[in-house]
Amino acid sequence: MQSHIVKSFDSETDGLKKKIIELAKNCEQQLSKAIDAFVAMDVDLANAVIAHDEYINHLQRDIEEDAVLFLARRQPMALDLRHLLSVMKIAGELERIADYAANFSKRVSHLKMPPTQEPSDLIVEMAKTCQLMIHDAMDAFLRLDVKKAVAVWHKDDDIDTMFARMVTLVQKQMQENKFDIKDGTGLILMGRCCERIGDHITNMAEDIYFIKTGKTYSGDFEDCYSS
Amino acid sequence: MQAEIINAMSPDAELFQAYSNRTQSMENRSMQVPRGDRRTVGQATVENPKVRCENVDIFYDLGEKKAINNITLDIGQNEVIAMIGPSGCGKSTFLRSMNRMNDTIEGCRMDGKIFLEGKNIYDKDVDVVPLRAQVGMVFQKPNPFPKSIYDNVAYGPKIHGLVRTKNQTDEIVEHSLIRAGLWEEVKDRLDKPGTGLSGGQQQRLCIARTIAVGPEVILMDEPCSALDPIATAIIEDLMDELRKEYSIVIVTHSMQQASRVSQRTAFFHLGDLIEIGPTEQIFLNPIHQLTQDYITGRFG
Repeated sequence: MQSHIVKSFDSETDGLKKKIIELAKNCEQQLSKAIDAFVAMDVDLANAVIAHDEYINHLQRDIEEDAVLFLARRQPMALDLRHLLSVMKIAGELERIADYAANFSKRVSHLKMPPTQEPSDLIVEMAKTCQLMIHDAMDAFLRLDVKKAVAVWHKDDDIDTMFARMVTLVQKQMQENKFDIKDGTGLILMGRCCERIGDHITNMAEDIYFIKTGKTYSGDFEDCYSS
Repeated sequence: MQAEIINAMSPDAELFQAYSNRTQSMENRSMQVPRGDRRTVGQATVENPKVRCENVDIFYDLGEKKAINNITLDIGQNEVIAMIGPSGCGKSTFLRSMNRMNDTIEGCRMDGKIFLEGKNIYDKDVDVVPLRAQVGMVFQKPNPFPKSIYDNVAYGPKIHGLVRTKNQTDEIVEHSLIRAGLWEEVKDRLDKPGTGLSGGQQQRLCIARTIAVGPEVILMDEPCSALDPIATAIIEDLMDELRKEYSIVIVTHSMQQASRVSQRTAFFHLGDLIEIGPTEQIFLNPIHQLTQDYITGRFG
């Protein structure tokens, strides 16, 4: 984009961008550590993830304060206004994603025994897909790449499918007494965390679509080719 | 389908209409128009306009310099239309053409037609004196006559023969000052000089003076640029009130003001009308790249 006449306008925008990248990077790491903690049943690592959530909350508040100040001081218009509003929303989505990573980790420390292979693999796959989606969504945000944002939006379908499969599987294994009700419920809740993370990432994709087009994404894949 | 759901949910049909119009205008919009394209984008005409400008060209220096290039634009009934653009883009020149104020500038020539309620104001039989009463003007710097507050307002109706008795004059002065939101502040000192009022009050006095001769259109050329934020807010509030009776055209350098007071916004650049559209669209999601560059401060 062409530079702004007021140089400090661009430096403030860049500052916000850097902070949101930092937030996204932290969220990705939180999710990655949560997966590791789950796979290794590592309660210490899980606790570290929970403790780090406060830093993420702090980052989000910081971005929000900067954005409010920017709004008051610069009164952005058009693309700049859409960009700023979306930055505030994306920061909120990322903070919620990190909350789910922390919730996921809490469940790890409550599990009595390591989960069986199949549901465990599905949960890991869901969480890894989420991690990749965050990465792609942030990439789409930085490049204002609508096609990529739309692709991320549709990737959420995979997570929903995996979640449905996982729930059926865990229910079946609970009936077969492969693990107790508490652990089974815990696993479903962990899957649910990933499923909700996927939903928050689709919101991010919608925000990116809005920045670029000024429109709300309808869910139609073709839309990104006409904008 | 989405429309049906919203219709069922919203008891307010008007709100629904506004929503669906907005959604439609967003959906129908084309891709971003590149900087180099000088054709007007957006809807320049409206149904049943108050003023219709058709293919207007304006030249200065006996045709040496073209200030306005083939602009067609309608001013709707009861609307505030804002004209924005960098200095020298022709917005004030275009504004002045609507009450033939350019006639007073030597070497200025205008081609094209401007209709006020169907009558071309550049026809030979049009008298500019009543025309300027019909299309009033408020300037950047408040310019009250060096007379009393009362006389400032009464002068126009008197010379236009709108009043015959003292009672009629009193009535029109009071009514105009009330409409301009100044009555309460000056009713006890109507005999004091208009130039003794504060800047914001003087500007409202000028608006009262314009209203007193029964205009149909009010042209405002940066009416708040010499005023403080409170006086500006009062004028903006007044514009909202005045548009119930008049059409208002405002030239402003403040994007925020344009976005607050107007229903439609026109963006001018180097004599061309680049983009015209609903104000919310111009400031949230303009179609032309030049409009976007200008309103976001990236003009280079």
